Amino acid sequence: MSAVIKLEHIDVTFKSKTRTVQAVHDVSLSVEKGEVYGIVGYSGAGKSTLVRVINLLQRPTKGQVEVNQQDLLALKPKALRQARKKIGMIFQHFNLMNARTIADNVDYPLKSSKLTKAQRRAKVAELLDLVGLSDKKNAYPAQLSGGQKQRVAIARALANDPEILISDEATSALDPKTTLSILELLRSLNQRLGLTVVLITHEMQAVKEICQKVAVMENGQIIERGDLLHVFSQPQKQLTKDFINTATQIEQALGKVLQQPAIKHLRSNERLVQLSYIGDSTDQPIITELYKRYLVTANILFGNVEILQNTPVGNLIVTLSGTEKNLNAATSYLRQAQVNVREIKVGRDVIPLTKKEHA
Amino acid sequence: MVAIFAHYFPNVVGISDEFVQSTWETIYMVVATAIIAGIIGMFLGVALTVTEPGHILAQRTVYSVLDKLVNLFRSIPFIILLAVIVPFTRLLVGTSIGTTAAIVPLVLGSAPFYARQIQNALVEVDPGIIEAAESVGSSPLEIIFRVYLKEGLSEIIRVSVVTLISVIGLTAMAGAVGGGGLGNLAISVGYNRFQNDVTFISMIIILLMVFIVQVVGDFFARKTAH
Repeated sequence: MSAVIKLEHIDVTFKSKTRTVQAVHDVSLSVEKGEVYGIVGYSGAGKSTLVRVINLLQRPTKGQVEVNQQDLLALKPKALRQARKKIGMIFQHFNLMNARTIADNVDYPLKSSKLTKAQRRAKVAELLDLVGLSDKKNAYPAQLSGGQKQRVAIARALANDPEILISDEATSALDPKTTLSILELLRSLNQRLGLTVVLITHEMQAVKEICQKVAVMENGQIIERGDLLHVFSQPQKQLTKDFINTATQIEQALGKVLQQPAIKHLRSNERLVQLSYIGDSTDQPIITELYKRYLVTANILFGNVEILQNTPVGNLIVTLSGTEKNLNAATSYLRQAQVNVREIKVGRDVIPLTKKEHA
Repeated sequence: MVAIFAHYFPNVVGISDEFVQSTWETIYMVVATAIIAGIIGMFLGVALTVTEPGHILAQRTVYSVLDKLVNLFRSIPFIILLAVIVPFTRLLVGTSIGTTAAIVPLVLGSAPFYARQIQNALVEVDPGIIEAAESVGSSPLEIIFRVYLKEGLSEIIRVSVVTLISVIGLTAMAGAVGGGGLGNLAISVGYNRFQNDVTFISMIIILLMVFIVQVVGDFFARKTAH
């Protein structure tokens, strides 16, 4: 496997008369052929600027850009335009040409190709079929829904048979159901055509759905990166945890759990714990084992299981009850079974809160 | 009908030949100006749009020179422009009097106006669309012809109508340099000889022209908007 996109030590600085903004600061990124790579971050993190460097819509102030084994910064304008044809791009606001029909929009990138009119027409039909919009070819963009517009944009981006597709917040303006269908389309393109996809978004949900690798950006830098599964199950940075939480909702659930009377007044033989696990651990009947071996009962208060790349990633919030000794033994048993156990302190933390309410 | 017309517009009937000729002169000036100023203004307008910093052919100096030139010419009152460029007109068409000679100041007066209008129309084209075109490898020339002029067409038609109407208005002043036309007729005959009916009918014919331009323009502007 070789890297189709290699960005090295990229700096992008915007200068205006009054101030200088460093949008991207010393970012290196390498994307392998056939990967779906997600870059997440809040707006202003520099992720849009970073992906624009890949096709040089944004020239970096410093750094190296190598795409498809070509040093893009060394290319003359004409050669650069040729290279860009192999890097498709889709946008948050679709950016379709309103004065052209759907078929003409998809045909646009082919206008400067060597194909004959008939070949172009066939290619357009094939592309529209691929995105499932053959029946709309004579419509204008204004007549389509957001999801349909994005499908047209995808067809247009694929017209020159690119190796790479850059998705710049392509699902951010769409509703959740349409978002899923667009992500599904991107996934199938990735699998069927071997298309390398670089996807930037502020929604962890989207990344979770299709990415194999993920990078988290903040203040122009990549603060964490790696395999989706790894980052998702063992996030290091707080921002990463926040993003993951937006997808799993664990923190919110924990907040609600802590409000429950039974939890506020946890008995001395009870412990509130969060169990997290990846993959195989789920195959064992853990909860049953806890009772059989240690007479520890587990009461599940909240559960979330994500299937990431066919691997389950689970999070449970449970109260365990039993004798002190058995609880300790149960905890170490769980740890042995590759389950991450995090004890959540209640009781003393919560009681002052209730007192405050009465006062 | 004819009798009623003759009753209310006695002087008009007497010089109907002059009316026909003046109408043609006005049409001639408008059409010739529209073509020449249209080409120059379109070119300048596109140049202003693409050379503006941040656009596809950003050239700060070129933009700022064009920008100031356009502003300068738009600031000169037309009636003064007519007189002040007489030497230039003579150099260009051999004479400074007559309908053809009037076209020179008309072009100089309306091309900068049209350029600004075109620029305003093209600025409306979504920068995202330009970016999308760049991302599929379009060259600047392709972007100008296939994106700016195509996406901006409806708006271009609208600003062309505005400009054309303003040109019709300017031709009325061409009489000041012997350019003829309906404006000249209204002043030199209608006003100077106290023949109000001549002035009135001149105005009606000009209004009719404006009306036709507006209706036809609106039709095409609507047809090209999707």
